[in-house]
This record gives sequence, C-alpha cells and structure tokens, in this order.
Amino acid sequence: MRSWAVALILVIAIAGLFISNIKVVSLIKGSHYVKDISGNGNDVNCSACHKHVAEEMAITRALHGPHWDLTCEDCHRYNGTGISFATANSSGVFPGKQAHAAYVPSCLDCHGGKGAWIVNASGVLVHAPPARTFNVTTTVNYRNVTVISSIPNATAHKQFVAYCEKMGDENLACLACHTNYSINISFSYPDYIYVDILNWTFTTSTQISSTYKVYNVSYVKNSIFSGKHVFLPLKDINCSKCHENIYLGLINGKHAPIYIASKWPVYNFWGFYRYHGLTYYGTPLNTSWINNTYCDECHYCVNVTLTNYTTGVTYTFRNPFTAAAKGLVHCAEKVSCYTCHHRNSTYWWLDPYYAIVNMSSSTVAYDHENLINATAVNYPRFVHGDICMACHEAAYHNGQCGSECHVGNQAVTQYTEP
Amino acid sequence: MDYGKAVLITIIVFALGVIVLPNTVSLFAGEHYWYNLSYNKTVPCVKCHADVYEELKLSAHRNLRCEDCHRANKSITYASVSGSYTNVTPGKEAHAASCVACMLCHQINASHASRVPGPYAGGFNVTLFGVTSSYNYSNSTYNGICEAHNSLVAHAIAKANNSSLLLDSTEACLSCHADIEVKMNFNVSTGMNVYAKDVVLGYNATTGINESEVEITGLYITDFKNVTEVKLS
Repeated sequence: MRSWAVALILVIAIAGLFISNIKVVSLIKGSHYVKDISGNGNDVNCSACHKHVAEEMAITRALHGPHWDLTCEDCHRYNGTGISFATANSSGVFPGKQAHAAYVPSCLDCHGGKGAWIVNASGVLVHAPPARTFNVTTTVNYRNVTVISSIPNATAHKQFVAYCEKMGDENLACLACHTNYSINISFSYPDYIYVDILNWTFTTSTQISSTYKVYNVSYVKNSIFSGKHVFLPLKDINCSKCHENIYLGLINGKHAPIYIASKWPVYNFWGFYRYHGLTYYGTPLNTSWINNTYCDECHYCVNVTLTNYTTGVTYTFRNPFTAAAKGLVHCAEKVSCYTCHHRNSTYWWLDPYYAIVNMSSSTVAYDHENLINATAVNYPRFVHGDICMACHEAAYHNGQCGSECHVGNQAVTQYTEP
Repeated sequence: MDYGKAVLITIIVFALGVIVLPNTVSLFAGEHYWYNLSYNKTVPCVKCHADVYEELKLSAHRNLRCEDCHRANKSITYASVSGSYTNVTPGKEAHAASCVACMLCHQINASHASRVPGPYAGGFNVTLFGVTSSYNYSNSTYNGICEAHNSLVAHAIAKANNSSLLLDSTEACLSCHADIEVKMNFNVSTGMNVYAKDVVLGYNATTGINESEVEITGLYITDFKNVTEVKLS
C-alpha cells in the first residue's frame, strides 16, 4: 500500500513538473491575460497597486472622516474639471484626452466655487462643500492656468495657501491641516518691542526688535503611508498642534488673558462670566480647556455665548460684523486685542470698559486710550497683543498699577509672545 | 522482490519515460511533416506557447490571433508565403514574429503602423518627462497633461530604450491591464517643512490698524519614506 502511495506522489510530481514547465515559456506570466475593461464601472483595481493608499482610506472610513464614502474614481477621475479620461464601456471605447486612467486632483476641483455634487460609493449624490474663502482661487497652475487668488485678508492662513498656490500645489496647504500629512514649522518673530512711555504716549524711540527668535514646531502624525489619504474629521484638527507656541503662550498667560485676576470678579460689568477667562490666576488650569472651541472664541467668532452668573441663563449673541460671520474666514480670523476692544469695535456691547479705554467723554489725554490707539495705528498687528499683555499677562493687572509703566516716564522692553 | 516494489519500479520507469520520450521521439517522429504555409497559413504558435494560448483564451484580446499582434508591424517584413510555395517573401527585419509594443496598435493613427489597429489609448504625455518614443502618445487634443501615470509610462519607455525588456511602455501598460505581478517601490513624502515669519505691511485705512501678516518664506517637501507595493497576479 505504501508503495502505491509513493507511486501516486511520483506521478503527481511529474505531472506538476509538466504543468509548471508550460509557464516558463512566457517572459512575464500573465502578460497575455489582458483584462476585459468593457464593463460600465472601473475594471482596473486601483488598490492592487496602491494598497497602502487603500489602507489609509480604510482609516479614514474608520474615523468617519471626510471622503470616507468616496471611491478612488470619485476623486481621481472626477468629471467636473473638463478632463476626459479613457473609457471603455457598453457604449464603446473612448480614448483619454487630458488623462488616461487618473489624475492628481486639486482639492479645490471639488471644494472650489460652490462645491460639487458627487455620486459616492453607495450611489448617493453627496455635496462637497466649498472651502470657504479658499474657494475663490480660480484654479491650479500645473494646468498652465494663471492662478488668481482673492483670499480675504482676514483669513489667517491666507499666506500659507497663497504660497502653496505659487508653488503650483495648493493641496499642500489643505493636507497640512486636513490629513495625517506631517508638518514642521519654524515661526520667526521679533524678539521684543522697546517702548518709551512719555505721558502715556509712545515716543519715537519705540521700536520693534530687528533680531528674530525662532520657535520650531514639529507635528509628526502617524501614518502607514504618506498620510495624505487619512482625512481627519474636523473635530480632530487641533489648532494647538501647529500653533504649539501659542498654546504655551496661553498657558503662561501671555497670549490672551486666560487668567482672571483675583481681585476681579469672574463675571464682567454686565453680569456675565468673563469671555476669554478660564480660571483665576494662581489656581490650577486644566489645559484641556485650551482647545479649538477656546481658540474660536476670538479667531472664529460668529456667535458669542455668555452665561449670566446670577441666573445661570445662557445668552448667545450673533455679531454679523465679524469677518467670520461675513464668511470671510476659512477657519481662523486674523485678530488682535484691538479688534474687539476699541471704541468703534463691533463688540462694544461686550466690552463696557472699551478695554480700559476711556470713553469719548474722557478729558484725560494721557490715558490708556492713547496707548491703544497709538499702538493700533503705528505698530503692526502682531505687537498689539504684546503691548496689551504687558499689563495683562498672568493677570498682573489686579489693581496694582505701580508697575514699571507707572513709575514715570519709562523705557519698557516687552518681549514678544505668539 | 515483492509485488509492490515491482510495480513501483515500473511506474518510475514509466514516469521517467514520459519526461524523456517526448524529446527523444520528436527527433524522429514528425520531423518530416512540414507545415503547409502556402496561402498565408501560419505555423501553430500554440505548439510552443501553450501558456500564452491559455492566457489569451481568457483575455480581452481573445478574439485576436497571434499574428494580429506579433506580425502586425507595418515597418517589418515577415517571412510569408502569400500564394503557393513559388510566391515566398523572405523575412527581413523578422522571420516569424516580432515583439510588439502595446502602442503599436493603441497609438494615435495606429493604422499607419499596425495592420490590426486597436482603439487609441489616449491621455498620456511622455514628452513632459523628456522621453521620446517612436509611437504617437499625444497631440494637441489628446495631450494627456493631467495623467497621474505619465511618469510610470515615461520611465518604462526610457528603460526599454536601453534594454531588451518589453518594448516601449508595454511594461507600464501590462502593470494595469494584464494579470501580472508587479512590485513597486514608492518614495513618498510624508511631511513638509514650513518657514514662517512676521512681517509688517503698514497702516490699512480699511481696517484702521497697522497690518502685519505671517509670511511664508519657504516650504519644502520632506520626510521621504520608501514603501513597497506588490500587486499579485
């Protein structure tokens, strides 16, 4: 019996040898098995060669991030650009014109203008929303079309997008925030401002440091490939990751008055809890409070929600005058303290003190108003906060005004913070 | 010797004979049976290329004959017998068959070059990569300037120009359109370095303040990573 088994194995082995010998004749096995692509869908499996991209898209689906329900073809054979792709279906064979199989899309192909309607993987028509304010970019220049960008000045990331446009790939700006693509940023800003205060008016010797300090941010995101196809849900885009210096500035009480002076009531003049204060100076700060929602209080302020400290009732005010409310901002508005805290501010109803500025009835010429106005007119936006925070940092302004500013006519060096 | 061993030895001898005999026998049997090639009859390619035949049967090209591709080049004179044996055309550039590039039949105006032109592929542009080909990939209408795989096609051509591998862009075509195994090494950027700097713009009458902005002074693609993809056949 054993002999029969050996014999059988031998015969099978020989037969296998014959079969395998047949294959070696062809230079590339399978090269004559040309796929039938006459079906009405895409008969070439993109994932076969781009498995890692498919794995990243699987992560996107798990996160339920943007594009989670789209197919490869929805983006890379998008039919809204005028590009004709090679197509073979029951209607016939149509050669590709501008592209054969796929193109590298610009995010704004779908998210420019008024957005686009796309049939997703489930056959459902879904809307790709316009990338507010960045959707005014006409097109990308790798197609030899002149780029005309009209991004509003109030948009904080305008320069980033505009720079990428000039490079010929504004997608980079999108990838930086909306995907797992990593980003390292070197921020350079003047080391300090030097102020001579004479009767509460800046003198001509006020100057901005010509020496710059650099803050490096390294935001390495986990990815199995390039990260470009892991699209993050909006809630997972963390301002603090790229703006770590600002985050630290907040914690240290130097970017905005996040701390409330102990002598100040937690509520303000109108009986509401203070807008951007999070805790009393000297008390522990829960850093999780510094999140996108907190950033938006100033940088994307469409609505202001306040709580009356006595009644506990919450009021939401809409200010239609902000650039954000006007739709002139993508995700963050360029602001300074002056934006809200000056006499003509559209936030006047939030700031009964006009940010320490005396009312127009003031007869005192050498008050803080001079400082604020002189700052706003004569000195660039990025030092406004530094001047304000010279007093307000770490809630120093707790009624003890005998600081170096109030000793007399002083030369003050204020180191800049993000 | 018992019965089992006798059977085993018989089978082994038989099996070895199966391997050896075809080669041996072919030296004698049939060698004087010449194929009749008159009136454009062809040698049965399948005799040696059974594997190709098997693949072709399941292929989108299943309705094509071997010669439709491999004797299709109009610039090549293949050996042929158009009438009786008195009307023989000796092969010049090729005797029986030539290797063929996909673009011979799938280029623009393929009828100028191929006896069996297929549909134009279209949508490629290899000149963007400084590569020249003897086949027509693009013109002003079918310019292919947006195609994502132009680089793959162009490099396949460049490599084929200096080697004995498949002609022109054929390897690139096969990688998508044929059931072959493909191994690709991607060198992909996974991040960028951005250099940003505060700059002063000056007083702006609209906003009423002295404006500044964060200027981007440099942006570089970085953190390249090697990733290997294998498409299985």
